[in-house]
Amino acid sequence: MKTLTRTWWAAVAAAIFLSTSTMSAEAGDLKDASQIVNRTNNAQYYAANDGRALVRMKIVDSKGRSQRRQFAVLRRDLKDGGDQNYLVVFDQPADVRNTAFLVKKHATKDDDRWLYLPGLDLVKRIAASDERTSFVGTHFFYEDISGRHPDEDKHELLETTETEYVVKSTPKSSKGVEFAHYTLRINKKTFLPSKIEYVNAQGKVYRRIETAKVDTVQGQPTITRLKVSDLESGGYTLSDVSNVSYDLGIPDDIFIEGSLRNPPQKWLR
Amino acid sequence: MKPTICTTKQCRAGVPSPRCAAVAAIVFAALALASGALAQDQQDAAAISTEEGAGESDAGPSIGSDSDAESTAEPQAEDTLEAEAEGPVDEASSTGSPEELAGDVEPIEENRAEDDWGEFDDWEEEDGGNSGGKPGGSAWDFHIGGFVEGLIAPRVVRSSASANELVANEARFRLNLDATHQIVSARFRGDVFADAVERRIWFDIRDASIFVRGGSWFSMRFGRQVLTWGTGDFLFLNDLFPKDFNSFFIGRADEYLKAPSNSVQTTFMIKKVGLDLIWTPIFEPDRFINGQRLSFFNPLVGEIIGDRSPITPIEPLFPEQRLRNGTVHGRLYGTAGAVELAAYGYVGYWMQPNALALTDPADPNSIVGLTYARLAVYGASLRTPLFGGLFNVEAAFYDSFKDRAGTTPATPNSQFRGLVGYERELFPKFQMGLQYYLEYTLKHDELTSSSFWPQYEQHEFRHLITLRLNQLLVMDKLELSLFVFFSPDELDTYIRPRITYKVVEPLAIVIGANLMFGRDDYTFFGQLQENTNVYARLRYSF
Repeated sequence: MKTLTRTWWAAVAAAIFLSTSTMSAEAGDLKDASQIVNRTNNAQYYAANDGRALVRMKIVDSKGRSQRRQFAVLRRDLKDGGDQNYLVVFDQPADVRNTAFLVKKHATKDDDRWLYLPGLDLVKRIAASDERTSFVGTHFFYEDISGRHPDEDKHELLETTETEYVVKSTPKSSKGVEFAHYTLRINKKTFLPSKIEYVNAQGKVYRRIETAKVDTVQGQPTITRLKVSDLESGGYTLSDVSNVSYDLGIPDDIFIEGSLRNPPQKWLR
Repeated sequence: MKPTICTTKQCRAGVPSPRCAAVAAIVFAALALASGALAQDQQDAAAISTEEGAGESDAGPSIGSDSDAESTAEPQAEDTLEAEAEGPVDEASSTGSPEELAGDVEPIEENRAEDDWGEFDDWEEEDGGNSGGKPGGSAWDFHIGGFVEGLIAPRVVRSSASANELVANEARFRLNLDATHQIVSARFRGDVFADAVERRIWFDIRDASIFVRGGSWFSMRFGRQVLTWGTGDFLFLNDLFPKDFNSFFIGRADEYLKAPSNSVQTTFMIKKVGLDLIWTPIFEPDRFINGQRLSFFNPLVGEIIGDRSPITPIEPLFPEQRLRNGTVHGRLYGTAGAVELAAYGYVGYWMQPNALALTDPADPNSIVGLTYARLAVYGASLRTPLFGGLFNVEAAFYDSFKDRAGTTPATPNSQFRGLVGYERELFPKFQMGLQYYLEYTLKHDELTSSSFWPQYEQHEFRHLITLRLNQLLVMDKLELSLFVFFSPDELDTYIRPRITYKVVEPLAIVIGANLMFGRDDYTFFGQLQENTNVYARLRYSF
C-alpha cells in the first residue's frame, strides 16, 4: 500500500514537472541544445511534407570571376527528420542543361544517388561520396544542401539572446570533417539559422553561411537567400530560391529513373 | 612494326606536316592549361594570407585564343566583386544584420537590401527577363541552346595504312531546341560540322523526338533518339543501341560514342517495376571503323588497312529495309531496397558487320562483302551499394541463332559476356572504378576448324580489365581523367587520359589522348595502334 502511494506521488510529481517544463518551453526559451538543433533541422530541411523550388546560385571565385547554376528541386519527406527523396533538374549552365540528380536520402545509411547525363541518355549511379565537398562546383557542400544529421555532433547552448540561440556543435568523430566545431545562430521564432560559422583547429573562422532573406510561404518560414563564404580564398556563393511551393501532394512514384530522363513537368512548374 | 612518336626534332628536320604542327599546338595548349590551373591554385592559396586582389590579378589561365571571350565576360563580375569583397563579409559579422532580418518574418529585407545584400539585386537585374522556371507560367516552355566546338586530333605514330595525318579536324555547331508541356514535349538536337579529314560538311540529327506522358503508368517517345541502358562503364553488354566507335577513338565528347536511331520507346510503370519496349523499324547498326578515318585490321587481306587501301571504305550489305528486319529491345527493371535489378532482351542483328556474304558458303574467294548476322540477346544486371562504393554485375547471352553449331565460317558464333565492376570515391573528389569483362565464345573448336582465317579468331576466353580514375580540382572546374582498357590474353591496351578545364563559364578546353598498343595487329585494340592520337577540343556553350 505504502509503495503504491509513493509510486502515485512520484507519478504526479513527474507529471507536474513535465507539464511545467513543456510550459516553460513554449512560453520561454529552450534549454536543450539538441532539441534546438533538431527543430532547426526540421525547419530548414523538412518544411511541410513536400516542396518545390527554383534555385539560382552565383559562384564568385577569389578573382571575381562568376559562374551560374540554376536548377529546380522537388522534395518529398518520407519521415520528418528521416528519409527524403529529391529530384534536381539543372537548367544552367548551358553545358549541363537537363542533367538531373535523383537522391534518396537516408537518415541512417549512405544516400542513394543517380545522375542522368542527357547527351549519352545515361543514368549513372553515383557512389557515396564525401559529403563535405563542393556541391556542383559551388562553395556549398553536399551536406549544406541536404542537411547534416544532428546526431553527428554534440551540441552546447552557448548563449540565448533576445532573438536567438547560439549553439556550438562539435563533431563526435573528426572523420570526414574539416572543422573543429561550428557555431549556429538560430532564430528563436522560426528556428532557422541566421548564421553558421565553421572554426578550424587553429580556432579561426574559415567558412561562413549567412541567411540574407527569409520569406513565409504557406505559413512556413523559408530561407530564400543565402550566402556561403570561403574566408580563406575570398570566394563565395550566393543562393536565391524562388517559386517555392509546399504540400503540392507530390507522389512518391515520381522519384524514379524515368523522371531523370523525362522530368515530371506537372510538378516542376 | 614499332610506332614512332612524332618529336619536335623530326619537325625541325624538315618534315613539314600538319601533324607535327598540330601536336606542337596541343602540347603548347597543355602547358598553358597546366600553368593556368597551377597559377590559380597558387593564387587561391596565396589569398589566405594576403588581401584579396580581385581587380589587378592578371586573368589566370592564359590560353591564347580564349582571352577575348574571357575579357568580355569579366567586367561585370569584377565590378560587383570590388564592391562586395571588402564590404559585406566584414559588416555582416559586426552588425549581425541578417539575424535581425530573419527575426520577424514577412516584409523585412527591403530596407537592408541596398547595403549588405545589394548584390542579390544586381544579379536580378542582370538576369532581366531570363527564362528559367516561371511560376505557373504559360503552358509551353521553350528553350534554345547549343555549342560551337573545334577539334583537332593528329596521329602521333607513323601509319603506313593511312595517308591522312589527322584523325579529326573539325568545327561543329550544335543546336538544341526544347518545347516542353505538362504531358507532351518535343526535342531537337542537331549538329552541323565541317570535317577537314573527309573534306565535307556533315548534318547529323541526334534527336528529333516527341515525348508523350499518359499518366504515371505509361509514357512514350518516338522519333530519332539516343538510347542507353546497362551497368557497364564504356562496356556495353545488353545495350544494343547504335554506337559510334570512330568518335570514341578520335577525341570527340563522350556523348558521341552513342549514335542515334529512329525508334519508338514505350515505358510502362507498374508500382515500382518498369518495362521499356523499344522498336527500331529500320535496323540502325554501329558507326563502325571502316578504314576511311581510322585504320583497322582486315582479315580478308591479312593486314591493317586505312584510307590508302583500294577496298576502303568498307561498305557492308544491309538487311532489306522491311519492318520484319527491324530490331526490338526490352528491359524489365526495378529496385529491392538499394539494389537495382534488370532483365534485358533483344532481337535483331549483330551491330557490327562481322558476317560474310558469300556466293559459295565454303569458298572464301566468293566473298561479296561484309554483312550483319541475325542475333538475339538475353541478359540481366544487378547494381548495389557495397562497402561505401558501388558494385555491379551484368551478364548477356549472345545467341547467334543462324549458326548455333558454330560451323558456318561466314556467321559469328554465339557468346556469353559477363561483367563485374566496383567503383568508389577513394579521396574527396577522387573516383576509382575497376571492371573485369569476359567474352566466352561458344563452340570455339568448331569455329577455328571451319574458319577461313583461324589465326585471327579471338580466343575462346577474351578477358578485359578496365580502370577509371577521376579527379575534380579547382572547384570542379578542372577534371583529370584516365581510363584504361587492358586485355591480358590479347596483350593489347587502350589508354584514354584527358584533362578538362572549364576556363570561364561557357568555355571549356579538353586535351587528351587515345593511345592504342598491342602485340599483334589483329586484336581488338592492337589493330587500332596506327591511329594513336592526341587531341585538343575547345567548346563554347550557349
